[in-house]
Amino acid sequence: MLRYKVKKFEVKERVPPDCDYNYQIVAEYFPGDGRQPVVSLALKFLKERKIYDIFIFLYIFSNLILISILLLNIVAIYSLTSAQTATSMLLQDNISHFVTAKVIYDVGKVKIIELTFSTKNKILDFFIWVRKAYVTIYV
Amino acid sequence: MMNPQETADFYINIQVIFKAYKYFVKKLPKEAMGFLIGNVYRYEGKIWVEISDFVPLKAEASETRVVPLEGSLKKVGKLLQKKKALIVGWAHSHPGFGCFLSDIDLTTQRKYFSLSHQVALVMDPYTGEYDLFVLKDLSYQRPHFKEIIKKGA
Repeated sequence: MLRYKVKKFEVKERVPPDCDYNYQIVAEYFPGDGRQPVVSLALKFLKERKIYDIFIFLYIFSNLILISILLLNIVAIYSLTSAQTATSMLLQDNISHFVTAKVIYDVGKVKIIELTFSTKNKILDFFIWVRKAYVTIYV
Repeated sequence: MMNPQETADFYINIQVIFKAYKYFVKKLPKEAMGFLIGNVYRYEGKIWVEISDFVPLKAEASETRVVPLEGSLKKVGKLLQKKKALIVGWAHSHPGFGCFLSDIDLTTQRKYFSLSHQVALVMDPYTGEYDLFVLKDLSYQRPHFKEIIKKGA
């Protein structure tokens, strides 16, 4: 036995979504206008789920990563070129925290020194394009 | 203020379309069906309908026909009471056949959804096409309808 109460159906007065700021009209279809409504997945899903915001966040985040990598490489190149010019410091092995010097060739008055830039972090080092530089010193 | 003539007969939330689409795709290659839930309003003498939800119905289905299972309506009744909403139509899929009302669909529409505010949504999940239909004389036609998004929903 059904126990639902039968209520009188009353039609309430209300402005349609066209005039309601809480709604946005996406598309309109008329009888016989020949347009076929299609579930345009990408746009509607994006609008519905607000993935625009997520995309913007991901875009900015990925850009930040890219900018960080570029900055890291600029620092690396600057450190290595500075080290190359500071010969006396090189010989005292007192260059910078990130650059280490290693003598790889030492014959008479000629020394070839290998300069290596390292952040002491393997992951960060992976993103550095130029990590090594060489200096030839005539003592 | 807008001209009442600009008011559409039906306003369907795109979440409803999407929910139905996802359900119909899930049920492929078989047909599937459900109820359209919403409310009926009046604006300056013109009746308009908001379709706000899609409720899937458990059904016995094949590729070409779908019949709701006994007891599947109980859940819908409770939902209607909870949401204080009405059944404003039904939705079913035509996998690979396009959007139209077959003779059986027309009979169903006449028998169970013959009120002026009740609509039939037919969707082809293979193409993503869908359409709304209302009864007109001995046949059917697409009503004037708009797709809407509820902001902040």
